Amino acid sequence: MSSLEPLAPAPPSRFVEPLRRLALSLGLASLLVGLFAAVASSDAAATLRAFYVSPFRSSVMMSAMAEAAAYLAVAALGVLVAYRSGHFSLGGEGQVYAGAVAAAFAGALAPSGPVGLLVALAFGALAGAAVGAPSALGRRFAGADVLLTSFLISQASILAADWLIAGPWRDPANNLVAMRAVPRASLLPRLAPPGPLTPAPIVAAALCAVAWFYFSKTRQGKALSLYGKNQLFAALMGYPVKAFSWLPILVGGVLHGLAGAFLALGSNGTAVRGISGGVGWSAIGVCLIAGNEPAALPFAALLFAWLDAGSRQAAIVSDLSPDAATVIKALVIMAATARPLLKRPKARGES
Amino acid sequence: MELLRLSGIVKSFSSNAVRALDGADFDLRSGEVHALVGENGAGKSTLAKIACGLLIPDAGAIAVRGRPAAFRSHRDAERAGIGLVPQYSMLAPGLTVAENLALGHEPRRFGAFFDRRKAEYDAALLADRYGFAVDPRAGVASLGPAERREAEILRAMARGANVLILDEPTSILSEEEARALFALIGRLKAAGAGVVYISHRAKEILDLADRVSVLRNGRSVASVDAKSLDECSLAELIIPTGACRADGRGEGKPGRPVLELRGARLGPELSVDLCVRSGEVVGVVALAGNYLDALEDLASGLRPSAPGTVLVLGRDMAAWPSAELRRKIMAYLPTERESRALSIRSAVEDSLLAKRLFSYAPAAYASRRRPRADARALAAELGLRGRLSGPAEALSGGNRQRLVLARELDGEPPLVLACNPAQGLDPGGRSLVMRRLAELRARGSAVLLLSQDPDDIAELADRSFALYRGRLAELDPESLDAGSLAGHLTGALR
Amino acid sequence: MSGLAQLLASAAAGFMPLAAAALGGLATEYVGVLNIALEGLIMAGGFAYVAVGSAFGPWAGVAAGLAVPAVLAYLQDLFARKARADAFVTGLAFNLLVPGAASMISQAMFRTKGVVNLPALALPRVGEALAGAPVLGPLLFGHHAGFYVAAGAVAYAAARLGFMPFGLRARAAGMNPDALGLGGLDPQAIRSRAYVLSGMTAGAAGVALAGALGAWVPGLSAGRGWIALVAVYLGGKRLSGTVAASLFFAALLSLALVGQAAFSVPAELLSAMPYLLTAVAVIVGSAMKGHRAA
Repeated sequence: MSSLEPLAPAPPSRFVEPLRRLALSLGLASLLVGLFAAVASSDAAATLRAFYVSPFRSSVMMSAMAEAAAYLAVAALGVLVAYRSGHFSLGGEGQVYAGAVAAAFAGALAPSGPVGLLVALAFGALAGAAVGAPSALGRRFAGADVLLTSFLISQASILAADWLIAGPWRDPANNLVAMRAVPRASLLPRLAPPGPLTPAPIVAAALCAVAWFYFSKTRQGKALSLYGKNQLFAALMGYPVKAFSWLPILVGGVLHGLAGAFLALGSNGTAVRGISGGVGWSAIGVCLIAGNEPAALPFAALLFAWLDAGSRQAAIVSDLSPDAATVIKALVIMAATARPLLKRPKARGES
Repeated sequence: MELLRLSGIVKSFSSNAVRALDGADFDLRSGEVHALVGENGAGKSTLAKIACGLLIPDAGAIAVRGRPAAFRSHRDAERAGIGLVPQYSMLAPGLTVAENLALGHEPRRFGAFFDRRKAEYDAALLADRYGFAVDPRAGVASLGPAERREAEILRAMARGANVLILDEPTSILSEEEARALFALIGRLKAAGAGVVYISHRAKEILDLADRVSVLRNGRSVASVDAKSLDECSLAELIIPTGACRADGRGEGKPGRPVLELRGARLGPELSVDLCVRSGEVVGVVALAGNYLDALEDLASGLRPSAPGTVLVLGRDMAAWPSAELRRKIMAYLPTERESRALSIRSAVEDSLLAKRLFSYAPAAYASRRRPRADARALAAELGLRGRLSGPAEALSGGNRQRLVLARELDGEPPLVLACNPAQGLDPGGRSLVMRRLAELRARGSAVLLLSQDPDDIAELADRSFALYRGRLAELDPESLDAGSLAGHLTGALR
Repeated sequence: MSGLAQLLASAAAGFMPLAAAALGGLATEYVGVLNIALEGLIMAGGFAYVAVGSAFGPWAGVAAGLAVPAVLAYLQDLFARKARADAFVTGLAFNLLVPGAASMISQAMFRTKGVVNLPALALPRVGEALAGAPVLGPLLFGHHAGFYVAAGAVAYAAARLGFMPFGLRARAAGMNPDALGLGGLDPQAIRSRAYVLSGMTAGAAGVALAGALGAWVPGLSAGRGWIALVAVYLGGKRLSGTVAASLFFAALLSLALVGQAAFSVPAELLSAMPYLLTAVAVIVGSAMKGHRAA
């Protein structure tokens, strides 16, 4: 082994690694887009235009992408907080959905205006936390496996939310299966009407910045990261492991709920059945592509949002299936977790 | 007759710049015990694995009975008559002894189904042949350490080996069990087999070996007749700079009680009472399987003591706020380092500073300058070699323990719980640990030393106990010799 | 059929695919890397059955339904090993990939993303004459052929894991891979075989589900792949336990279906019950285990 390091600055690997992963993901995504354009659509040129030109052509389109990225980023942040604390939660989908339903419910009932907006957002966040709570408490008091409980509760809550939207809380005046519309004034304000841009992307970016600061610059963030890697070690170092065992799961729930609230209070105007539409699962992918680094989350989210936007557009102008985006996302996720053989230093063999 | 010859073996592991073996030689004649010694990281286990086909060398030649051989897997080596009893268990714990022995050569019924009864029969036959009492139907996880050794040896001999490679075989055996092993080795010698004996224990080597070869940094540096050596010259061979032993008994005057176990529950119907005062070292020695690990868990607060209590500085351990207890009061050197004392995939720096983490002001921590400098200082103090920003898993075993020592023994913790602290360290590292512990005692710390190695206790303890089947017996320092100690440890002298 | 007979038949029909997937999951749990992608593999099996069956007939479809997921599982493991990717993440991504890919292929082959109804692919019922026998009748007989394919997969997997050397080797691979090295075996090869087995049995489950309907329905597996994983966990990662847990879930799901018809509880809430109950079971089970250890 080499001798002690001289007074050198931190090696750049902390930034290189997420950057490499993002670049790889972008490259692979582009490659697959090209492949699908050529093979799976009747008009390759139109497909390519749909991906590479249309989404950037108008501010409306770009705002829509930013909005979609915002929902993904906030949810992915929820995934990140839980994962870095060592809790593998699969409950995101249900938490987002619950957040949307709760926000729509509260938004329709509360006095319309900024107060209504804040109440709706709060309800959304709380609903997300509520769906995450059984896993958090189960972990804290019974040591129950978070992977299983979070998934099971999430599935149950998705079904419950489906029932609420289609049943007792359905808006009969709407052709879609949806809840009552939230008054205009209580929705997320448009920053540049008639475009869809709301403060959501700014909030998302701010939250990512906060998370970045927390994990890399604060002592508690470091303690939480160490807990995530080895709980026994953290206990022996006197870290607040009791709190760590459940609060991060709850925070993850809050973030997912908030993402759901954004979904409902954005251009949807209320909670529509199936509104969460795979955001929970995509958020896991976003988090992975970002390598669990908050600073990289917004970019990973934009990548996914771009794929969705391009795919939607391509489905209109050529006959590329809208599921192409899902397939590309899945392949990019798989590639992002591959580790190049050069990087990992193997431990020296004993004796 | 020459049974085995390895020449010029070179081996490096994928991304390591340093070679594990850099031109090592070794040969073994029939009817001899040839000891292989060296510091940690010298390459002994690697050479053993190459000799039995578990690793493939980058360069070099292997010859079996004079004819060149190339092993592509352990199966080839087995067929050539080479068996390995590894240092760390290679048995599958959830399976039985018979199942482990049969793995890969399972007897079949109707061609496809596993013939369990035949496997058990074969295993029992083999155990009989070597005079072992281990039950082939027992689950490996339920075996005591000596029986597990027996099972490992059986597995190695099951394919008719005439070269047996033993890697640190007695590290967990009692004196009596070790003697049984030596008797077995004697029988093998007489039958014309050859034994490669890898060990740290000078006394055993001198008793048992015919020849001694020394590896240093992956190279063979000496190969001598064992008769020409004594303990001192053997140690010199291994590390040319002589390691000095720590100052034995302490001059400190024991003060107030720092750690007290009162009726603390060690196991079913077993409780323990123990008191460690400031300025003294209390040593407890036991063989594996006698609740030493339970004692460690009790003293470290990882196991509930009810209905008894564990008091630290007069206060119930459970009542202490964990941050203060763990970071300011208690230094804990666990036996299991990877799972308790390190975050193996985090940076070395993180594990080094883990206890000081919250002592930094938020701004100071954020800027990272102070912490980094502190980490370097800590590492330097204990001769830790490795990249601080790299993951802890890249460190060798010896360096990992240095990391733990650097962190835990920093400052003057009132209570030190040292469990097998020198395990896995070369003689230089071992004397460093002993010296540090003696210094801490001189400065008033209370040290509870738990070890499976009687030498640790003999060197350092002011008061010592033997733990047998969960019961403590105080040892009289005057009459402490190998024989009576062995008697205490194996229950003969009770 | 009487109400009880219907309940028994539906419980059996629900049990077989679930047990097949769960035993596949158990094999991968033995080798230490639980296959999260069972959900996707079930769907792959069902879709392969419909896609190949539509062109070459139902039995070719069955063969494809078994082989395609087995190959996919093999590739999944290969990727995780060679590219040193996280097996958990790869499995999750796989679960996203399969429905998307199936939808794309379905679009190309059948011009629809939705239900592909091919009555010719509804497998014939077997032994209906015996289905009248009390208790055992509705349980064992009168099911469509896909059920028996899944039953075959269950029997085969149970034999390999419980009574053949493979089960031993797989468990050793999960506990201490070195033990295999000394036996001259390759733990990677054993892991690979466990994955192939899991693909095959999950595929059988998919075939059973699609064969019952004679159609490809997006979301065919309806969470069964996940429930299979829970069954492995609840079964204490043992063969008998896993089968028992699968039985438990199949019974719950049957009751939910029956309850939906009998009481007018909303369908969604009734479907949510099994998930909730299982979550409670996991938490309570965990709490009890903790108490026992203390």
